[in-house]
Parts: sequence; structure tokens; C-alpha cells
Amino acid sequence: MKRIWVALGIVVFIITLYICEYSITFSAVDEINNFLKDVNNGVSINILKEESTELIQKWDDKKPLLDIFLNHDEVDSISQSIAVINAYAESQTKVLLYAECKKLEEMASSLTDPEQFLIENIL
Amino acid sequence: MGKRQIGDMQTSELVVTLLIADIAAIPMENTSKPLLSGLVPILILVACEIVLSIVMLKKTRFRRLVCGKPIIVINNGKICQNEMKRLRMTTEDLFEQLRQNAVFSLNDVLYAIVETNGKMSVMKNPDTQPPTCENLKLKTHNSGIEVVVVSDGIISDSSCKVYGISKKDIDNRLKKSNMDLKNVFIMTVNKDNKYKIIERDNSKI
Repeated sequence: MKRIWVALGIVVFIITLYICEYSITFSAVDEINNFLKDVNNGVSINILKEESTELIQKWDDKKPLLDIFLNHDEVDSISQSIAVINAYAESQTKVLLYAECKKLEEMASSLTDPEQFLIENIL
Repeated sequence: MGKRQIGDMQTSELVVTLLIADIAAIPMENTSKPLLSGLVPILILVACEIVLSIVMLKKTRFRRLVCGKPIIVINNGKICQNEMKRLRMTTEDLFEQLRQNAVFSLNDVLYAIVETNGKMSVMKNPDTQPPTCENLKLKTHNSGIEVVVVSDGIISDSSCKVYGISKKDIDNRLKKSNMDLKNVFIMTVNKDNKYKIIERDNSKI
């Protein structure tokens, strides 16, 4: 009977970890998606400059938590991409900013896609 | 899996053990991967193993499905060749396993069973076995197991409790032998209160 409780404890622990990972990853990616939405809506580059600085701040706050759950390389590449977007926004290089935003969009979706509880992910 | 060794494990347990060892190496060799990427699958495997062992304990059919069942390879002194073929067991394998069971002639075996963990259990032919005290109707004396009460000059309290020996008894016995506790390498006692003392060898290597 004791062993059943140990097994149940492990299952509960893993489910809790999954929920934590899911919520942390999705909240971090939501911030990126909100920024990308503004980019797609054609918000002026000066506002994008402020928003990207804000995004760097928010991402850096969440990075230590994300590093616990996700591959460090993936998290680092998103950090770098946000920093590059910020640099393009500061130098008013719109074309390169949009290109980097597309790259960021792909990277962000690659973070959340494997976390979704879908049959293709399980298989 | 308890205290069992690799040879005693069932196939499913061995697979889980190898998988755990393999998964544990992933975060170690790839530093960019989080520790949880190794920990979570290990915990899942442990949970599955626990559940599997509980189900196997309760359900005989499931246990048979996972572990198989023991197979008789020598039945009443006769080798079951079909069963040996099924087990892909050569005659060399059979004789090797028999020798490991201290059997050197087929005439000495009545039954040989290959257990689910791959080990062979042998029931020897009573006709070829030496007579026991019971056969000869001899009375034997049981002097119990010998326990080590002093090891390397240190008295073991738990061993003393086995036959209710006090430290005073040990001191008295050592005084009788003109020995000091520090110089005792091993001191044993049995149920009949018979002591055996081995002195420490102080010569340098």
C-alpha cells in the first residue's frame, strides 16, 4: 500500500511540474506574441523600441524559471533575438526588424508547440 | 527492485534499470538540457515500475504475461528437448547450469526447472544422494548460528543481544584467555555459549 502512495506521489509531482512548465512557458511566450501582434499591426518604430526594451526586461525576469524547464539553448536564442530586435528598433532598421520578428515568431512557437497536450506530441 | 542483483531481475526490471541509467546520462552529457529533462522520465519509469510490480503481485495472469513461467527442462530424469529448443538452450548451457548447481552427472538430477529470471533450480535424485541423519535416524545437536560479538576490538551490541550476552560476560571470557579487548580480531559465540577468539595479527605487512 505504501508503494502505491509513492507512485501516486510521483504522478502528482510530475503533473504539478507539467502545469508549472505549461503556465510559465505560455505566459512568457504570450508576452512575445503580444509584441509581435503590435509589429504586425504596423505600430510605429518608436513605440516598438519602447516595447522591445520592456520585453527584454520581462523575458530576463522569466529566464531563470524557463531555464529550469526548457532547453537552455532555445531560451538563449530567444533572448538574443529580442536583443537584436531592440537594436534594430533603436537604429530604425524596419526591414531587418520585421525579418527578426518572423524568426522570433518561429522560435516562440517551437517553445510552446511541444508543450501542448496533443496526440501528435504524445506519439 | 529491492536488494536483488542484475542476475535476479525480471526482464522488465532489467529494461527499466538500463533505461534509467541511460536517461540519467542525458542532462549530464548535455549541459544545455535542464536537469528536469532527465529527472521527469526517471520518475515516470520508477512510478511505472512500482505500479507494474504491484499489479504483478496481485494478478497472476499479468505476472505470467510479463515474466513468463518456469519451464521444466528435465522431468523425472528425462531431458525435455522440445522445451530446450523453445528456450534456445544448448546442451552446453544445460550442463553449465547443472554444474553451477553442483550436479556433475545427469543421473543425479530428477527435475531441473528454468526459472523466470533465467536461473536453474535443480532437484537432485534422492537415490544418488548421500544419506542424511534423518535417513540414518541419528540425533543431531543444534548449536545455533555463530555470531560475531567482537569485531576488530569493538563489541557489537546487536550481536550480543542474539544470545543475551553482556559486556561483562565478554570481559570475563577475555580475562580467562588472558587477552585484552583491543587485541581481539574476531570473537564469536554460539547457542551453547562456546566462544571462539581470534587474536589480532599485529605484524606489519
